[in-house]
Amino acid sequence: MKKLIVTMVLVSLLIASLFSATKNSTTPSTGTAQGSATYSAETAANYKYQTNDKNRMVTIGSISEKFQGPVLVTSFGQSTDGSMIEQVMKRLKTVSYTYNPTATGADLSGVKTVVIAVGNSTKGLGAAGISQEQETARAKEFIASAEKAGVKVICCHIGGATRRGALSDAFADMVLPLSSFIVVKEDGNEDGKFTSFASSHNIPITLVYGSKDTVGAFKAIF
Amino acid sequence: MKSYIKNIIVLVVTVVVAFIASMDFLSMHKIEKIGDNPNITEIKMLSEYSPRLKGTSLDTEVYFFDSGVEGGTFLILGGTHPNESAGLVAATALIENIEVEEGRVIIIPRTNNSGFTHTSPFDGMQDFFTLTLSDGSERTFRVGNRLTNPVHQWPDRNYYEGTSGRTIYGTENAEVRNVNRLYYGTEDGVLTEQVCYGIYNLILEENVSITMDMHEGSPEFLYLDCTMVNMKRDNTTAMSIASDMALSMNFDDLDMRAEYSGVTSYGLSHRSLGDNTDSMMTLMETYNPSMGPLHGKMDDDLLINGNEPNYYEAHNDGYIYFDVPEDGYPLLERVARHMTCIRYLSEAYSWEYPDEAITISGIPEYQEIVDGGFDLILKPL
Repeated sequence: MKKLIVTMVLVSLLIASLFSATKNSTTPSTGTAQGSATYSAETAANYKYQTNDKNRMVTIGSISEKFQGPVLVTSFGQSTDGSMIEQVMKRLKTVSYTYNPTATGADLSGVKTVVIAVGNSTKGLGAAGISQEQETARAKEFIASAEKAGVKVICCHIGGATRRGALSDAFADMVLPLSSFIVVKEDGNEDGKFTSFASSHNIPITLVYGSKDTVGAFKAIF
Repeated sequence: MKSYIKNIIVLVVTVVVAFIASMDFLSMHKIEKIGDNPNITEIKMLSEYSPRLKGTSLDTEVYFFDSGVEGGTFLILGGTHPNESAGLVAATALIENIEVEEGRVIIIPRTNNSGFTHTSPFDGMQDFFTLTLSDGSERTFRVGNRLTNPVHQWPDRNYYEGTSGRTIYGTENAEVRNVNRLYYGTEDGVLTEQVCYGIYNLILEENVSITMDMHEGSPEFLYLDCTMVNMKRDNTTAMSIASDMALSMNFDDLDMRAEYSGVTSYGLSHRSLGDNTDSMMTLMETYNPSMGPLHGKMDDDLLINGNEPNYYEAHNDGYIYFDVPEDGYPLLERVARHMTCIRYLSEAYSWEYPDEAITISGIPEYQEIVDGGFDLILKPL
């Protein structure tokens, strides 16, 4: 009897070890984790949304002038949001634009408006083959050149809450002081970072509910 | 004499049990029929691109749709991970419905054919699920395992270095049976890697322009309703095409985003095939609650209706980032999402590369599929 029990236990262990190798269905197929937000879950829970599924776009402050082309769309942080903005510009069909995610001051020649998509992505930096330090240096050089050239700057944060880490915020902080207009997907504003800055610096800001609503926000300013 | 009778009875019972078990096991090797489509121009086997697969359980069908009009070639992979059912059903629906007007489309519905012959026993997986169409006919699909059946490729080596750059060892050693860890593959590798080589070689021989690998992920996964894109081809253009697709899906009120392929995602299709071929590589993920550890009973409500209250609760408690719908995320919607993604990708690709246009008709709009049900995309057999 004792032998039988020992044998059964050993066989069970053997079977378990064999099948444990096939029992990996919870393993994700791809990818790694994104950075975490710089504000607490409690802060986010207390935030009162102004946009919703029905009222998809809210502008705070008055837009006194239309922005002019040619437009240069670039990215600070190499997230895919720059590419999304490019597609938004494509759908406007009325403004000439170029998209260069790694633009420098030298690319500002002839440009009247710069749209900067802020949002850090380690995958994007890897795809572009540049380091965090190089991207930060490029961003600093670009924003200094834009200021010197006197071009209008539009700050765009359309990556939502998942694109609110310390590095993304650092890029936003570079762009906001020079911005004439701000567009934010509202779930990226759950701590009021963008609306507070816009209010205190008298900059018009449009909150959008989803990425697609950026088209409407841009139609109003171009 | 008495002991002989006892032994004979035990032997007979053993043979009967073994026979029944064998029949059940072998029934998993029966391939479900895919409905006819007059627009299919050719059906090949993957072994034509990876000869050593011939006669093995990993050889698999490759469906060709050639418009006869010059253009690009779109390769669509379903069933890379057979437990991610939306990929198999979407590939089946595409095969049964599409017509290609410019360029070519190539579809492999069961990329890891061996993975469909077994399940995850300790997960209490069902072997099959059945969809009933309005005429009362039934379409049955296999629920498989994300890995090759160990009966076909065993033992798992303790250490494996294939062509991918990924070293598979230790607790990860079962991944040597995972198609999506061994790209770009070699014809001399383990059987699973020979599948990878077949797809790699197919891409080269057929000059594939763009590839979509259809996947699903567990609710804990951060890249759901997301398409991974390799940036090698034309640098920013690949992401522009994917972003165009994502924004188009947003306009249909569907969450979708594009994300860069991780530089160290060695062996995954979007990384290693993108790096080693000229095809623009994409991989899309939808939410599948049956794949996560919090799932309850494996039944049709979970597999077909995508309904798992545990995940809804976990999301509301802040543990799951993905916005889990209260009423579930049905298989039909996930299949419709894959098909819509492919439709918009082909349109964006054709817009960007008019000389390599791929024009596909026969894929209904997302809402049409959701309203029309499986009747609209699966043929009664």
